[in-house]
Amino acid sequence: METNAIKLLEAKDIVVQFGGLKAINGVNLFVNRGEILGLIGPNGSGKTTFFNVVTGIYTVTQGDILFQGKSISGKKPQEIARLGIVRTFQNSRLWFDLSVLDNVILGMYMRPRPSSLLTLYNFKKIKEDFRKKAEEALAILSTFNEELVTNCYRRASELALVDRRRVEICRALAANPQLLLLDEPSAGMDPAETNQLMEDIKKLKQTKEDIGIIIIEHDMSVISSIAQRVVVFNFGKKIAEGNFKEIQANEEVREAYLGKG
Amino acid sequence: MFVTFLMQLKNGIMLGCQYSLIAIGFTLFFGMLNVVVFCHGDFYIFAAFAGTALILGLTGLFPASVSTILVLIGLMIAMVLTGFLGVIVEKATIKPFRKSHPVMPILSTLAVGTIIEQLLKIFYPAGSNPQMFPSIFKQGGIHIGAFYLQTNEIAILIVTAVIFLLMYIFLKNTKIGSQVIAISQDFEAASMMGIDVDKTISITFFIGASLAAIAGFINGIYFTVFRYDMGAIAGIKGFSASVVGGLGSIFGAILGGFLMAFVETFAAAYIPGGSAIRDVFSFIVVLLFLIFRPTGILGQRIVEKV
Amino acid sequence: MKKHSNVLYSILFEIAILAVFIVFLKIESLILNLIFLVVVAVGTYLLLKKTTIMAKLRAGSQTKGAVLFPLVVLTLIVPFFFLENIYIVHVLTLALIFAIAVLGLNFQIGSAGMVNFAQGTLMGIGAYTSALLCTHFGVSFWVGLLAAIAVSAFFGLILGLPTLKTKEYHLSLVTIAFAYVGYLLILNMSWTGGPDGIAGIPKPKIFGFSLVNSLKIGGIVISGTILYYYLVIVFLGIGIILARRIHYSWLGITWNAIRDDDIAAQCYGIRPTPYKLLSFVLGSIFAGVAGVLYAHFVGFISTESMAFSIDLLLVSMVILGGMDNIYGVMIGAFLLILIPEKFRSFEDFRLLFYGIVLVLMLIFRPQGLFPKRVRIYDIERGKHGN
Repeated sequence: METNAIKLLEAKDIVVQFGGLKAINGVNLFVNRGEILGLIGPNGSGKTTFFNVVTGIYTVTQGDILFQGKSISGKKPQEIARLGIVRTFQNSRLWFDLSVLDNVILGMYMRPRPSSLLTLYNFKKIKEDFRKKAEEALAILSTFNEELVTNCYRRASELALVDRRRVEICRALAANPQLLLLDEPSAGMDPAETNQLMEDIKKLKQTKEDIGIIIIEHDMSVISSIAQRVVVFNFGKKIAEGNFKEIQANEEVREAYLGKG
Repeated sequence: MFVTFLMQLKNGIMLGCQYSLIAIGFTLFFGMLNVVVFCHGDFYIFAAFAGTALILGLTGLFPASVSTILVLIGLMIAMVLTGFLGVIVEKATIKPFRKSHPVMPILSTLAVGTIIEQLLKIFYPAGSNPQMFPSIFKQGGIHIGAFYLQTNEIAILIVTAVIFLLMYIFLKNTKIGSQVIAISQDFEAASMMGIDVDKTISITFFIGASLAAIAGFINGIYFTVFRYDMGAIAGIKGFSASVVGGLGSIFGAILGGFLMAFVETFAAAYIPGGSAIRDVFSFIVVLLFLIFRPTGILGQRIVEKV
Repeated sequence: MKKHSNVLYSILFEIAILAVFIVFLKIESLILNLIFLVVVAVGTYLLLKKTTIMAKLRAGSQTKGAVLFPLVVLTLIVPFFFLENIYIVHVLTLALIFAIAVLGLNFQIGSAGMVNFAQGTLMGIGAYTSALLCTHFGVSFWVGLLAAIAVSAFFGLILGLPTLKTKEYHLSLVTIAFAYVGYLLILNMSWTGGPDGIAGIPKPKIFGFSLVNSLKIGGIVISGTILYYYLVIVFLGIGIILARRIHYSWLGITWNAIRDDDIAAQCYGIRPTPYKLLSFVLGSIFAGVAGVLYAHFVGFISTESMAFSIDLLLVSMVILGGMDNIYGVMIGAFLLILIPEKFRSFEDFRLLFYGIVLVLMLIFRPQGLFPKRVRIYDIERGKHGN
């Protein structure tokens, strides 16, 4: 029983309804600080919808979502981001006409920025601010992959899928999240790349111990390797929760993935 | 007073027939491809030119023959030509942008509209002057109660009504109609189900442009005078009508078309100095809808997929 | 030293471009014009392929001021090649005025990704504001300019507001509707002069010296037109500096984020609303200034100068030149003003020409002649990593 810390994120009896369809139908879920939670389930079971609701893109029809004890349901994405919840997207929503470096720099948007009025009379300060942030962005990129550094001026649209995902994670890190939501980061990667990704996430956890991560995945090797706890969705409901071994043995989970009979 | 009111009512209905037909095209194109075809209005005016040229040409070539048949043939050819123009425009300037930013086809169709209109102005004899649509109906008409309807007006009403009916039947009961609906609901799924997407789109554009052609004939038959630059305004009004009615809904297009026509006609008639700025009223109605009810009267909210 | 030779290279290159430019403007014969254009186009294409030359140019342009300083000098001496044919300076000035308007439009289309078909209307609003104040109330050009800036900013805000709630295709319609409403209202209101417009707009006075008159320096007579050319250059210069700084500030990069993916932008703490509004307000101010400069230059303004074809022309300039590329869009403005002027006898084909150029650019090179460039920072990539 968690008695000490307030949970980092808690979803209480949430229902998300679109017209007649209940994408999420009464889900209770929580993540602790410093924990990596795996979120799995067949396609269409509501996982990405869950992320969308946590980040404010959709609103819960019923129930409440609490971040560090305070309700965030109904808040706009911008407000939620400022609270420290950052996500990646299933289809890598980078700013494609901007360079890799600019993408990561923009991840730092929420940090103090020099006033735009300075544009008029003291542009040097703005240049300096960008320069510093560019340096830091390079540092983040280099912890992930040297190639990202050499390619830092390439447009995001020119990157291979693997690199896009990496840049997306770097961008998310630049935003200094307390809760990081990763949406199928290994989709489209081959086993070697997936391994690298797992190492990168583990490394990330070492440097930022307090960060909470929820990772949606279809690749079970990733989940078994890094998730400390796993939640399984099916048809908008949570059907199982526990560590990976427990989930694997769960009958209902098996049926959900393989179908009945 | 009452007579003027009836007169305006009739004007409004005639105008509404035009706008609706144009609006149906817009709504078809938008519903299917999420694209606004800004040159649609120029199909309308192209047809007016083509129809005039063909009718005059044919009746000139065969002065002794029965003019009704010649007129019909002329109009048919003009309509088909316009239909093909629609197909060509789609293939050349809209298809390349299916996967691009939605602003691209907006820009390209605006440019194409300018091109069509300028080509008419430059290459049609005396193209920059107002043109007269040939008078193809005999004088006279019939009395229905308080109304006196001339032959051309009756023809317009019948043709428009028939077209609305045909559109309804087309979409609900024909194979191609259901393919159109399928594509408009889910492009990817439709092509994966084996529907020949390109062909269906071509057919849709042919039909849409043909409807614009008929609207062009109606304009010629009722209002007689037309000019090469009327296409742009008519297109924008037709588009506005479909927005008001609800983009993606055929009923909406018809409703919007008549609504816009009535607002415009009555504003011009009853507000002092109104006829000079009656277009402004139409645009203001549209702006209000865009701001407060962008889905139109009958349209549906589109939820963005993240 | 290698660095100096690269800089010299750049300067020579700029002089070469100026020479080509001047020769082009001087050619009278139609056929020669056409041949010249083709030769230049082909030559440019081949040149761009020659990577060694491009590398030298790029290296030369890194040195601070290497590109800018000679460019400014060259721009300033252009009018002196055309003292006998002032009309060309007149056309160049018009191109510069449109360049200002296009810089503003670029904020919306290029940087923030919102297509605005009412920039010509905003130019007209600025023009009419100043024209009315100067002709009816006798205020000076400068007061008219300030008033026009305020009025354009206001209408830019009005234009921007409804666009916040609307999606891409709706946005275009809103700006088109705004353009038509503006045009029709000004056309039909009596106090704006109606279809006859406003005539007799006075030339500006600088320190009491009116630009109607010519200036005598040494033995040379510098006509008012040339003086006005320099006036516009000053405004354009300010505009360029502003536009560049905005581009390289947080405003510019945030606009880009909103343009490329506004949902992702929101998820990183960005509120699109103030940024979108700002792009309209700032862009409209540029349009208003351009409008005022136009009105006082030509001395006459009517709704013909703000017809929808002008709105479309401005958008074409951005597309042709290159969205979100400051120099690109200005070159777009120059090309679309100068080329039709050179082929004046084909005046009837002008709009057709614009339409065809736009379609061809969209299909074959939508990023424009000069695609947007990536931001480079003063950092060393080698420092990180082994």
